[in-house]
Amino acid sequence: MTETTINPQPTVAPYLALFESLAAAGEEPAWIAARRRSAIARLGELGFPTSRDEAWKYTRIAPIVEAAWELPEWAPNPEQLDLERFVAWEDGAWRLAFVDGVFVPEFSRVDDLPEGTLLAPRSELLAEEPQLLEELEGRHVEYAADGFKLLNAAFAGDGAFLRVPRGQRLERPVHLLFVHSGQQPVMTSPRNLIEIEDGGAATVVERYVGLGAGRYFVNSQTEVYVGRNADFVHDRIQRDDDTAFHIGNLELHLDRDARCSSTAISVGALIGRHEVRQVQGGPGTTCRLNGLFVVDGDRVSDNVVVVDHSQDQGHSEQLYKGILDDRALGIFNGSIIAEEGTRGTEAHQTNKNLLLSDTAVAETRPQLEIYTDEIACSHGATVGQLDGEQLFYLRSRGIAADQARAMLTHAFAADVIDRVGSAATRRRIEDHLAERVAWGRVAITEES
Amino acid sequence: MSMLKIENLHATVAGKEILKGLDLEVKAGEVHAIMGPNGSGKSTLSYLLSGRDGYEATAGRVSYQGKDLLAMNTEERAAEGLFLAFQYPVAIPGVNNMYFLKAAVNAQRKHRGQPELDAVEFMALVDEKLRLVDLKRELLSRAVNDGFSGGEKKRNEIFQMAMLEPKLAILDETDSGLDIDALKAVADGVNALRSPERSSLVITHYQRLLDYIVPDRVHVLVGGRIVKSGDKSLALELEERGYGWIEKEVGAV
Repeated sequence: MTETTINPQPTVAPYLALFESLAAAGEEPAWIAARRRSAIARLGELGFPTSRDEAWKYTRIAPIVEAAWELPEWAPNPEQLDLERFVAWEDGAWRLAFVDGVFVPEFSRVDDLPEGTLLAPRSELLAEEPQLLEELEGRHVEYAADGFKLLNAAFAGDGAFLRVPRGQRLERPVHLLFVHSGQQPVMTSPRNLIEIEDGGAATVVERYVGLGAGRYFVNSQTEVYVGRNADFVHDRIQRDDDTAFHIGNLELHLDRDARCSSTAISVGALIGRHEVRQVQGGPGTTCRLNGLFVVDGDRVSDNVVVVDHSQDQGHSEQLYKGILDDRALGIFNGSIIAEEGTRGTEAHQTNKNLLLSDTAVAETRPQLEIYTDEIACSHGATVGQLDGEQLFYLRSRGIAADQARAMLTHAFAADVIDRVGSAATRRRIEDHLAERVAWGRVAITEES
Repeated sequence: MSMLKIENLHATVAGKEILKGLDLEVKAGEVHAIMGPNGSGKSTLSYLLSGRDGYEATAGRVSYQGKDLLAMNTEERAAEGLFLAFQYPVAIPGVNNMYFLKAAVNAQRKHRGQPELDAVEFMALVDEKLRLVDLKRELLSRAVNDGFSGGEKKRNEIFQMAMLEPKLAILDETDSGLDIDALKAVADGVNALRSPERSSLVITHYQRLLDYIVPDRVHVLVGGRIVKSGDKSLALELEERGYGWIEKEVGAV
């Protein structure tokens, strides 16, 4: 291990030490231990991102990496956490639940899965079918240049494994529920792997929730392979505590003619970041990546989308909207890459931001790397406030100013919320956002 | 009984004085028309009465059903029964027309201490009012004014008016840009709501609308003041002779 400790970035050193305690604790297959060691070594060399990294220009990570985190060793008694409220509305979904990074079978539901579908916590797979994990995990993740992905790989904890066999279409959604109790200052590294084999279909709802005002750090990695002519619908709801930190990565590898729609709703965390990368493993893919981020106070929401069209007939659409209040910072960094020699690419990107205060800030950065002429491509970005004329119209009909603002704020977000794939989740988000943002609680000084 | 009494009203928009001592009284049950050339202050008057930000009364008083209208905010005025039919109704993508109407109706009912309508009662009201106003039902399930034609927007205004049953309706150039069928439809809707308790202020540039909504009084607004009042024959005279002669008469620009 000496090679990792040669002059590391100072912020990395505590994580190297933490890694030693992890390595000392566990009995794991040799291949996992080797992967962990390789990731921590690379992290030691590379360090965490800094503001000099283009992709991290606006997000200060010092509050995250300079905190002293512990590794999750125990889950609080789920009986005392009133978890029922998180699942009562789910509408018959299958579910894997984790509290502070630890799998909680009592709150999971994997009965009556169709023959051939495998849904299990990663820990169970490691114990029972490690060779399957060894074969599939990490195939589609691009770690090399990202300290947090390396951190996840080094500390990879429990998470979900879902494999839908060829031609099977799951009729109910699968919820992956990650609860953080806030009772211990943990860094968790959820590691999810989803494989939809050729012609299969699944809807997965990945959810991160906190219970109040805890300080913790979620550093998650979800890796998805969508097989030929398969369908993947993905809702990702991040409503961690406003005092917590959340970094999430989603890798979508789409094989020939695969279809994918992924919607990320991010409303929690003091500093939250979500990066989604779509990569084509074959031609004819269709991918819709949607996002809604809602932040207030002094919070930050950083949203990164990379769509890489490396094959013919790749279709993609990015629709990201930000609602920013108080002194919040919202960032959208969306890339479209069309590689040389590809034909028939169609790629669209839209980012709209609504500022509900004079002090909120939206940074929007479209990045196009187009190396082919055979492409239809568009992008557009706006930053604006609520429309004074619309507000007046609603109020002139007797609707109170607060409610009018709420209606317009909701209207702004409506097209993203409409794209949430699971109906029960969509309704839940509507309710939650109505409470949370009180949509119009926000002080708008003047109509203009 | 006086519905609206405006005395010596002065008002500014962006620091510029637009209304310069306007007097007007509308009694319950009456329909008054306000006519005037472009830039005379017609729209300023309608926005000021409905409480739009940026329109500031600097002198004078406005009494509405015996209350100080200028002390109320926009939504209070609406809930007290004041309705503005917009010249250019704004589109609100993402807000469903029916949802918006229900919110408006119930906000006003709540203000008046009436129980809110549930979905069934609300739909019954919609059905009733659709018989008064010629509006395509499908427009109700769309976003407010979004993608509506000019005529559809104006009919939607009148439909909202029918739903909200105001005491004082201000129609701000509701006739502008309408073909004759739409104009008649709008006028029919307004006439259907005429009653001894209800008053209307019909602001228009043209006499044409007044063939269908026959006013009790016609006022000419020039240079921020009412400079001439008369019965409906005044509107015909304005149509024939234009506004130039009045402007000369009062020496206003």
